[in-house]
Amino acid sequence: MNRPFYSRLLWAPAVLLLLTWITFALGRAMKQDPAAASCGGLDPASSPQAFRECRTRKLKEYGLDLPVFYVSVSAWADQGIARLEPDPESQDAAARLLHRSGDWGAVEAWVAARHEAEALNEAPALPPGMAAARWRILYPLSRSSDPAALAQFADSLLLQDRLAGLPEDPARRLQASAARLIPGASRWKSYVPCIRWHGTRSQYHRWISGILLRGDLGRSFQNQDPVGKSLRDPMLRTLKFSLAALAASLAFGLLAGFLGARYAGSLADRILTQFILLLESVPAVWGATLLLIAMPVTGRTAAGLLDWRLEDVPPLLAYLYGGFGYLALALRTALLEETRKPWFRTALGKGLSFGQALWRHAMPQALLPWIALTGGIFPALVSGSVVIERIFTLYGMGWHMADAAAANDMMIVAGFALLNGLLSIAGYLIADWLHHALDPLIRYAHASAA
Amino acid sequence: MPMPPQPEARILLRVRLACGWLMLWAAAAMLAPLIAGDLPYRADAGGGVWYPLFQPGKTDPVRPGEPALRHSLKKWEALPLRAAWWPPLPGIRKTYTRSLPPGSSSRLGGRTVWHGLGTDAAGHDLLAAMLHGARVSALTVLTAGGLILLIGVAAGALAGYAGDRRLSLSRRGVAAMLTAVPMCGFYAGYLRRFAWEDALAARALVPELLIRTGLSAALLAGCALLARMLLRSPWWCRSVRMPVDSLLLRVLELMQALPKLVLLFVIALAAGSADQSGYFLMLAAIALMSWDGVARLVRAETRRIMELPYIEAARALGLPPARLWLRHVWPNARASLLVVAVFAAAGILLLESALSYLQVGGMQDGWGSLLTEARGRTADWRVAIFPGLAICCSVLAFNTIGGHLRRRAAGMPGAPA
Repeated sequence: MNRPFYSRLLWAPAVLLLLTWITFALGRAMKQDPAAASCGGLDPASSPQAFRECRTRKLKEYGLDLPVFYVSVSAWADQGIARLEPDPESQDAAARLLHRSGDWGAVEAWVAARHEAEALNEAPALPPGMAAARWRILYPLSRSSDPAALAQFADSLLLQDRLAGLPEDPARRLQASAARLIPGASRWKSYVPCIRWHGTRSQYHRWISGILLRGDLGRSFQNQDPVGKSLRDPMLRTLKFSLAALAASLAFGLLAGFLGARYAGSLADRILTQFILLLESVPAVWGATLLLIAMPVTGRTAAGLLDWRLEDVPPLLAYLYGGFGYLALALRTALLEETRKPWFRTALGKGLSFGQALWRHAMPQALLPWIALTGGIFPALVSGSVVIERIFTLYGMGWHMADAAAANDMMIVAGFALLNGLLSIAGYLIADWLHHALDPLIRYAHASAA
Repeated sequence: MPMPPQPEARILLRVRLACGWLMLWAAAAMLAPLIAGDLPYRADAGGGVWYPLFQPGKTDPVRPGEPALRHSLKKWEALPLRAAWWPPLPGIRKTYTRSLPPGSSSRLGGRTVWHGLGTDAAGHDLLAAMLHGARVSALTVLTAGGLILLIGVAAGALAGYAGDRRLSLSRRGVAAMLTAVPMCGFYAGYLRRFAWEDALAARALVPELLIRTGLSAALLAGCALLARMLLRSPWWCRSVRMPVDSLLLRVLELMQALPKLVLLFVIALAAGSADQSGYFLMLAAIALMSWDGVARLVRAETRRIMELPYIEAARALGLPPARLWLRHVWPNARASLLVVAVFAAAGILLLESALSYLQVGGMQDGWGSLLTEARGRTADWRVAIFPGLAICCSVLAFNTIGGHLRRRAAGMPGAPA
């Protein structure tokens, strides 16, 4: 029985599941908050409340207000600190406060009192320059996590508001809530883990069910376009190059591998082998840069699979040369390995020429392991597009992904990584299946075992 | 048609050339800060003597009786320079005349410098940048390669040695592990996230790492002890076989399906930064994504050797597993490890060149980053040629040595690749 194929087939769903976890986790590992970034027009100093409301709205729109995964583990005291605050720094400060005091109610009251005090900045009757002066106190208040310092800041805010003739209630409430933040009796709640089950109301569930049920990879954070749609045109360009490169690699690899073994040791073979070894050592970035210097391209390539122009040749060569040499060398080595076997000598002794014996008898043997190698080529080509498209400024999938990643649009990145992983798994499965279907040894063993 | 045997001397020459290149690279990496720099070894200025290269940040006031080496009151650059011992080559920080041809020289700040490879369009000395890149790339290959070997050998040896049935744990042990590992995650990971951030900001990660390790060890030991005391019925004492081998194979399959370059790129953008911590994060990420080849080889070798009769004999003599592995399995398994390690080094270098070409966080100093400047500038052909040639030669050297080692291990020194 063909163990590798069936075990791979059986394990493919599990590997896929892990792959979705990894890509989703990477998609959530954002440096910036996309919701805050899309509220960039609002200044948190002069209109804190409007900024907070905008962020909450955007979070809901992007589905980022939900818990990340089905299940979460956090301290007992923590009931969702991220929902309280608009920006990562003040979230961090609030989380530190909560970690110290362990009292969710106190931290919640503190944050609410601070928001109330901040909202006073938006009052229409504020004296000129007062908003900036209050923000100089309110800003460190939102960043600090030391209860003693917070109490001091609250005191000075009260003094300032009293001098300016502003309502004193918000600052008094801030003072009162700061006093409650001193680590107290419920500190133990920070040290007890609490497992919470969120069920289907989680970001991962929405993402994965969208993919499984509707083939929908989510929406881009930048412009709310569906990820699948925005990937379509770039994908066609990448597919155009990588499919052509795959076909050419297979054809050249077969031809060069066979001819190299047929005329092994001849001058042409030695030159070809050395050339391929040299080619394998040329990093893709250098090869592509040299090609670009030799033949400058504009980078405007058509998105049609069969729409080829002269300026598409250098990128194609850059795509091509990594896989071709590898395949040719592997086939040549496998063929030469076969020629050392006794049955090959028998075939020669029966009167077949070297070429005939190689083509008819050694080739089918050598091709089987070779087919298994080809499974990894296509996914490697697609992931290599990140580099090659960057060099030739081709607006393909790799370029699109790099662009999106630079703009923190992680939904597109996760979609690309997932597609690439799917291609890898599919490639290996197809190669394994071909191996299984073509190898009579495996087939007969399987039939007799069944 | 039998192959004519190739002359052995030529192959040896090739391998020698490759070794020579690697040694040149290592020398350049080690000596780069000494032979190429913007600071003089010794400067006579304003009546004092400075050693700026060795004490770059020294600003101590002069105290009576202090030796000249510690004499560095003001910045020496502000004083009239009388004499200076300069390194033979310029450094990477200063900018000189733009786009100078190779071999030309220019004058800057009382120093005449020779530009062995010329300068680029921004006026940086190309040879200095190459030497600095050699240092960064060598460090990348050594560190990431070392990590790969460490992880790969440990995982492969464990899986190959234990297989699916040789390692077993009592049911209460499994229960203790299943309880302790999430607890370690919570107490040593989640709860200490602020301590981690503070340690990162203060660049003092070692105590924090020690605390985490100690905490995890204590939790594991405590859970094991509790399980041993509380779960005493025979059902709990029955042993469960650990499918280590199958687990490793699944992990390797998953790693095969991961788009390595894409994930590294994304990790750099999501968590990387353009400083040292970003660089080491990328090294760790590269290692975590590329240990599969080493693990696969070590697993296969260990399994093959474990089947051999002499291991059976050694086992019959009652050797403990650690001694069996160290004295009888590992010496035979490590021969082919060298081959894989050398090819892995070539792979890391290629990966690094791609990442530093893309200028992702932390990897912006390698040889590949020099190529970025050359993109689309036909006039600056030198900037495109030399760094690429350096990467290419290094990869070729690794591949040549790897091929030679493989042929030697297979017992056919003269056979072509």
